[in-house]
Amino acid sequence: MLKVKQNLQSPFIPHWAIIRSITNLSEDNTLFELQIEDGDFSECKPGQFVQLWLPGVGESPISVCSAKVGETIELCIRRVGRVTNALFLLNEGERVGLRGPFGTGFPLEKYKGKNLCLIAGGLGIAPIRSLLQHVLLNREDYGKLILIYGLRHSAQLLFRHELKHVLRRRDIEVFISAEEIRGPDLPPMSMQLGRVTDMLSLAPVDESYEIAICGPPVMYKYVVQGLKAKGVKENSIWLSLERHMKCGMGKCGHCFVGGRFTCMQGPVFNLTELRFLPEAIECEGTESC
Amino acid sequence: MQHYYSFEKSSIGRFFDLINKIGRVWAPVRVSEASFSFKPVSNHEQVAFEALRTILPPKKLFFSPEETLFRFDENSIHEVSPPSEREVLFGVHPCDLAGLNVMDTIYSAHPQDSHYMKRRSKTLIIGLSCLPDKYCFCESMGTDTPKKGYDLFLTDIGSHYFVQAQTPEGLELIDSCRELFSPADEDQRNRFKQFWIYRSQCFTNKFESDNVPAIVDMEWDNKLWDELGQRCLSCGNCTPVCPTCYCFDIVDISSLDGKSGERKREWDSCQIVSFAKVAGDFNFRPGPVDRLKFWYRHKLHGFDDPYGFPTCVGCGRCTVSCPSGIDDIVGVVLQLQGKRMKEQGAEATKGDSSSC
Amino acid sequence: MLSDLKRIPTIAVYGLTGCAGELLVILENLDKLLPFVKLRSFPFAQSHNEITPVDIALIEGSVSQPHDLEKLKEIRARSRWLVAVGNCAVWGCVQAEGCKRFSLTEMVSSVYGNDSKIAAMESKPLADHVKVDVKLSGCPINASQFLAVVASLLKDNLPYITHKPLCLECKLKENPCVLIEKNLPCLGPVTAAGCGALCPSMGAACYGCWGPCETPQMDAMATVLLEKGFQFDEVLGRLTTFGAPHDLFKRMSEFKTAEN
Ligand SMILES: Cc1cc2nc3c(=O)[nH]c(=O)nc-3n(C[C@H](O)[C@H](O)[C@H](O)COP(=O)(O)OP(=O)(O)OC[C@H]3O[C@@H](n4cnc5c(N)ncnc54)[C@H](O)[C@@H]3O)c2cc1C
Ligand code: SF4
Ligand code: SF4
Ligand code: SF4
Ligand code: SF4
Ligand code: FES
Repeated sequence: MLKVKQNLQSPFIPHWAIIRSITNLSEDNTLFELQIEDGDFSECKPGQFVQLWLPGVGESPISVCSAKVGETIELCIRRVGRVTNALFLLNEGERVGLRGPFGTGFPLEKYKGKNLCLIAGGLGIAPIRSLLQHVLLNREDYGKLILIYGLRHSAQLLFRHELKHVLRRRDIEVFISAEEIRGPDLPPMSMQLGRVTDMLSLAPVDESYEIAICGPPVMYKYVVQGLKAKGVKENSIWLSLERHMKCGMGKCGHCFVGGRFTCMQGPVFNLTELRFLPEAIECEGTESC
Repeated sequence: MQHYYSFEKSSIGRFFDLINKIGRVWAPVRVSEASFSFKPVSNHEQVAFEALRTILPPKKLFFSPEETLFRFDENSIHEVSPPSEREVLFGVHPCDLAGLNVMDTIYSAHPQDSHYMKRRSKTLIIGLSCLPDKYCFCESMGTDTPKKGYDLFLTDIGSHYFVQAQTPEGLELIDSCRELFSPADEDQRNRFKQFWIYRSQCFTNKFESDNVPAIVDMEWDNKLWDELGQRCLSCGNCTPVCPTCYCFDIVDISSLDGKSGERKREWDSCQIVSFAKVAGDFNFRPGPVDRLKFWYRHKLHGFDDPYGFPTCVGCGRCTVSCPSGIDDIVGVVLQLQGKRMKEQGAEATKGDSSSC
Repeated sequence: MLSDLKRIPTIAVYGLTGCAGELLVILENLDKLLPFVKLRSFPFAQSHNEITPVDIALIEGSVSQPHDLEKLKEIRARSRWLVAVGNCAVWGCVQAEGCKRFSLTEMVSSVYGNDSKIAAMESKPLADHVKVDVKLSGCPINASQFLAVVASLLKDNLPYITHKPLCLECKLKENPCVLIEKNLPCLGPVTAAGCGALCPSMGAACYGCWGPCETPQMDAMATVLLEKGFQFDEVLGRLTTFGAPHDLFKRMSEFKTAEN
């Protein structure tokens, strides 16, 4: 007979958290600050994710969005469907559930002492923000720093105030682009017309850089091509993959990419690993980037 | 070290009295002309000893097709634990034991799945020998002898059942009725060995298992996949019937007052179009070809890491449960190996169980 | 948000052209709903009905007559959530398919006589005319799915309705497969689950009354049935009976040509 630990706890039980503040970032994107009521999330690392549970509605995987998680955790969320719509109806003081953190996160140890280039497409800025904060907090541990951030429309720019501060720093080069720049409320910063890949060709990235990428699935192929053209080595490229996640702990099978559980062995993978996984960065989708 | 006993087949009624005392007994029962199912039984007369494969594999006892994980109200969450009464699972063949071992690997990996583990650890498992029909190919998958995961294993050696006791719980059962069991004598041990040699010669459905995982990857672009995929209904029959498919979906059910509810899980299938869809409606396996190929890879190649072993145990359930006749694993392997040229699929969907 | 207003949410239940099967299911479950909602209108079940704005309108039946359409538009204009309940409202059911197979005027005259005053129009599902917020198919609908949909809407949340194939539900109940064992023309592989696999559980073939599952593989289904010896016209007839949209069958006409 199989032996089981005494008092084995179900890993499906969420911890409670209370919405402490809600900050609107753009039309459909909002930053939620959650006060953790029970459970310990202080181990959260950039690139990891939590499962956000709305009782009676369901769970969604959401990236940890800040470098430090203590009594509160920040999540940047886009309204796209059932769970996220329901979340946008909640007010400060209301309860949600959290499980996690899950996944491996960005390889902070490997990045140490290296030049870093962070590339975000659209909402991919959420995990990249936590990595950026971490690097800026420990700036002396890293070499040169580049941030590339691409958008479809200028109006989708997230964290504009924080980015303003970042733009003023001398120890980071920032490239922000949008495919369409319009509207009365032009972004208060130097934003260029174009795609992530255009910014990449402008940025002084070379083979000395370690790369962190997060964005919509269709972006990866082109960004990887661009990086390779600049001589970046495959084993320096780290991508955060988005897969359908239900359990977060290698059981439900929804997050399989090729032969791996994205939730446990990812979501951040090195490109050399992905080459061994069929279907890793190819997909059928509707959006461009 | 294992312990070896035997008891007369004519005493099977007493054996069932004994296991019935432990708890509810599940055993294969005939449910139609061609099908069997593990169901609770109260005596041996209800048991279909001739059953080779049940519609659903024994995983259903531990990983319920549908179960509540927890209930909640506004302020609290209550885990719903599976009932703790002991149960006995009788009549598990070697392929299904191997299947349970795969399930154990997944569900006992950190963090352990408490529901699965609790059900698994309260159940006594009694294996039973069998002779293959034309769909069985456990021999090719190396899962044709019982290795672990059982408490007792019974081998039919003619007049007697030869009993292997592998765990303290199994031995306890034997000790509880010493008049029924006697230590296996030399003749019985010989008959046991002969049975398993004879059995291994009975397989007609087989392939050379060397390099099968490598060949699956090598032939990733083989046009065979397109031919099979075009016939695939994406109906999902092939995964619930598989002893090693462990995927599930989780849903919330809210009460009308909006204040309480429950969170449930139920079996899911990677053959269904929405299985891998993510935000923005990106789908990494949009067509039946992509999904079928993925399933075959999981079964024949296994995942790269951390469970890098093929998960097919050769039970033949998918072959007999695929309405389209495309889950002829042996046929597919032979074709990928270049040993069989033409698709012979559709013929293989009748569930007769002629043994050798 | 409904709960913010601290008032009891309102619902209304209507039938267009349908068999009232869903209305019966709703009626049977009304006692469960009434503690949480105010019923403004349910012409099938009560005589005093109000025409007022409602939070949730549940509509059964397809649009088959001009006055169905008027009524639908009128209800849409005063409902926050419009829910199509039942196959007729979601897919159009047999009447929608009938309109695709036969001429409307001939059908009307053969049923109601040559000089009938019946004003019929091509029968179609609700979503072909107005915005539908939630589609809950069934024939009739499953009561627990229905209650779950209302529970979600009462909190202003979109309900979770999956459209997995019936086979999955059938297998979870461990039914012997009638398509394989009895060679019955079961449509489980292309039909949406939700009924609890009623027909196969009784040893009968699923005839698709819940409408198609998500991305049904109609070509493969036809191939399997043709191989079992069913005739092309019979297969197409079965697959389309309950109003599945015809563009799902585009490629199947090639089969017909191949057959000849
Ligand atoms: C590792 C990871 C990190 C993520 N980080 C963020 C983040 O920081 N901020 C953010 O806004 N979004 C993030 N997402 C995406 C987010 O999880 C989905 O947008 C969300 O789950 C959609 O849920 P929904 O119920 O609102 O949408 P639904 O109505 O359920 O569906 C909308 C779309 O989302 C897809 N989807 C549904 N459930 C899941 C799921 N469990 N996993 C993935 N896709 C799903 C559906 O297939 C559909 O295409 C992340 C996803 C992953 C995998
Ligand atoms: S893949 Fe098929 S033959 Fe192999 S274990 Fe699963 S059901 Fe049995
Ligand atoms: S074959 Fe599909 S359903 Fe089965 S375990 Fe693998 S991914 Fe899950
Ligand atoms: S392989 Fe067969 S059983 Fe599996 S989804 Fe396709 S048609 Fe259905
Ligand atoms: S009986 Fe019908 S619904 Fe059930 S598995 Fe067979 S084909 Fe699918
Ligand atoms: S999310 Fe369930 S296995 Fe990865």
